[in-house]
Amino acid sequence: MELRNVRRSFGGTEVLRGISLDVPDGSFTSLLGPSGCGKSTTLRIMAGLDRPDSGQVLMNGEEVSDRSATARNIAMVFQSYALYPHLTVAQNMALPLTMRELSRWQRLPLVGGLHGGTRQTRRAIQARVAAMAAMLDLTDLLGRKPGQLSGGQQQRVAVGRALIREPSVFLLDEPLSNLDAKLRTQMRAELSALHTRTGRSFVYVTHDQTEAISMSDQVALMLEGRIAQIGPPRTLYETPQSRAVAAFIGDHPINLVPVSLAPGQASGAFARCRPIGLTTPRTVVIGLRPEHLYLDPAGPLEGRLVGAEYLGAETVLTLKVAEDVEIRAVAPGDVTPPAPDSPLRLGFAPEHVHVFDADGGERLDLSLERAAA
Amino acid sequence: MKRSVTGTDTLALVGLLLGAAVVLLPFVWMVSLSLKPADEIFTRGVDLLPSRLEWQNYVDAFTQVDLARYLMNGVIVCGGILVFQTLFAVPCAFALAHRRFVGRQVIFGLVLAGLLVPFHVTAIPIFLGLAELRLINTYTALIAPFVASVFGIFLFRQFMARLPADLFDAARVDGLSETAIVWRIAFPLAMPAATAFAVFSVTAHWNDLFWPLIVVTDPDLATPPRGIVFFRDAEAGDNVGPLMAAAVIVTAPLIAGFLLAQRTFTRGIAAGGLRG
Repeated sequence: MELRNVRRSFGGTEVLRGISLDVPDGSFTSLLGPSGCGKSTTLRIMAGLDRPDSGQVLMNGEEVSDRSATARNIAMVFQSYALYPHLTVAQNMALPLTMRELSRWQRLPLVGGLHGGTRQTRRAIQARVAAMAAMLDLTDLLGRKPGQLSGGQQQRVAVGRALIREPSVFLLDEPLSNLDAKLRTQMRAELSALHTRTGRSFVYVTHDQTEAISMSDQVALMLEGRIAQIGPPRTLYETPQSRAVAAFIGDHPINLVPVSLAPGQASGAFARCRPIGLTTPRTVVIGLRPEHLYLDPAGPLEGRLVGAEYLGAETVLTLKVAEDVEIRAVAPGDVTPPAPDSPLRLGFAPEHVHVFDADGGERLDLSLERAAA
Repeated sequence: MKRSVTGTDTLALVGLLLGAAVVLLPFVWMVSLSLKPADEIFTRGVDLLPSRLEWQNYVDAFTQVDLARYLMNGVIVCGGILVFQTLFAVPCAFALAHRRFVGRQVIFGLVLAGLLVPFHVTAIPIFLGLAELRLINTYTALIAPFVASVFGIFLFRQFMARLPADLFDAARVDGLSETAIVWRIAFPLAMPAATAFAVFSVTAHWNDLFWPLIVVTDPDLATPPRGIVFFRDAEAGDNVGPLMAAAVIVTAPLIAGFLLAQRTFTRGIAAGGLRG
């Protein structure tokens, strides 16, 4: 499935500003972004529930913008699960098959039975529902109504209803956001396993970077209606293409410090550092992840401790390295932080330094290293 | 949880009981008269209870006029009206609640405006139209004018607007056509509204005397209230006992139906946004 330069506006507001996205067959692709970035709209366009104003939606190279979700053979799991409250679990899961495999007349309550083959088809559908229920551990719940199920069970029914058609693309819209933290971790593993087992393409919309990073082959980070960066999770974390991407990705917010650089000389908090690869002086923003800073008595970054936040496995230290510049660093939890206001030094590796243009925010092929004494 | 009955509660309760008594009195009187022997009906005193039960009134009600036939007509007419009203109102309501199209607001506005127009305003043009089509004295004349119910559209649309849109998107993804969504998903979920609407519709048309009196003169097509009128026209003069018995028989199905559907009915009204 592929999107080419898809645009969509709602009443004058441009929600999608040219989305191009390739979902390789069998991949697990995440659309990650804050709320309102257009990721759900993108998913709806992929599902055929919405149409792009311009641009193309391609499946196997064919334009499918005008086709319904069924014609595209796409299935979707909704954030609210959207189970039919008046149908049992079995009926919920059977409905997509009933609609596809029985004709209009065969579906009629009494008349349908007159048509030869209706009963066999119905029996085949029942068998597939039973098999899907067994796979998702729902066998005991087939006779229940959705209202009688827990959140996790409803979630599994929604997945079952979507998977039963054996769709070519499987879309999930924030499917875990209504579950509690523990169940979420468990469902994450189940969804990953399901992806491996079915081998279908999954497109997963989420605002939770942990979900996106832990499950995906590729993550498309969407910001303000554009794809800010697309690539394997590791690439997004290690080489963010812009300041905005760097700021979004990472459990601990990245430290972003504006600095003017000249060949051989950095300024401000980084005065003890030397730029690598710089030819002409320029103003940049240095990005350093808290988890890449370590306490080092000989480190180039010097500051005073303003705060220490103990989190069990780790301690987040906040240092004031210059007037108006605070930097956060993550130290292991067993480190006893020094008294407030005591001077500390931090070190970092040059490969962990991200340098962005101060105006445009795009990544620059530069780094910093400690200046020799 | 129990709570203590306060002074205001008692006052309210007494008020409600009085109100109920006032409303119930004519019914009690009707039932009482229907069971009184003919000589007791026109006595000067007011006796709420008959001295002996006169079941002959009920036998007369069925034998003097063709009451069974009228009841049957009532079922056909009310059933026909309800089926067609539902058939038209539910898809309309779904479209107004969950589809985006040009003029949706205007059409909904028209529906609301339609609620304000009493049927009697349009009765004469409709009668003339039916006369022109030579449909007077047919079931069609009794049913057709009511098949499009703005009240039904309004009630269903208010109820459906509260159903989550995701549900219908899910159905679209599952391969249901818009028609299938209406009847397989939206309609079953709107059952409380449907029940409420059915009670309103059946009560109104079962009890309606105005329209059958205008379009039907053939006794074979008379609806129950129209049929009761035949007692007065009967040559025997005012035959109050059997008349009241017939009235009881005609009212009973409605009361039974309402009692059966009571809970869903109130739920439908509450959810339909008709409550204050």
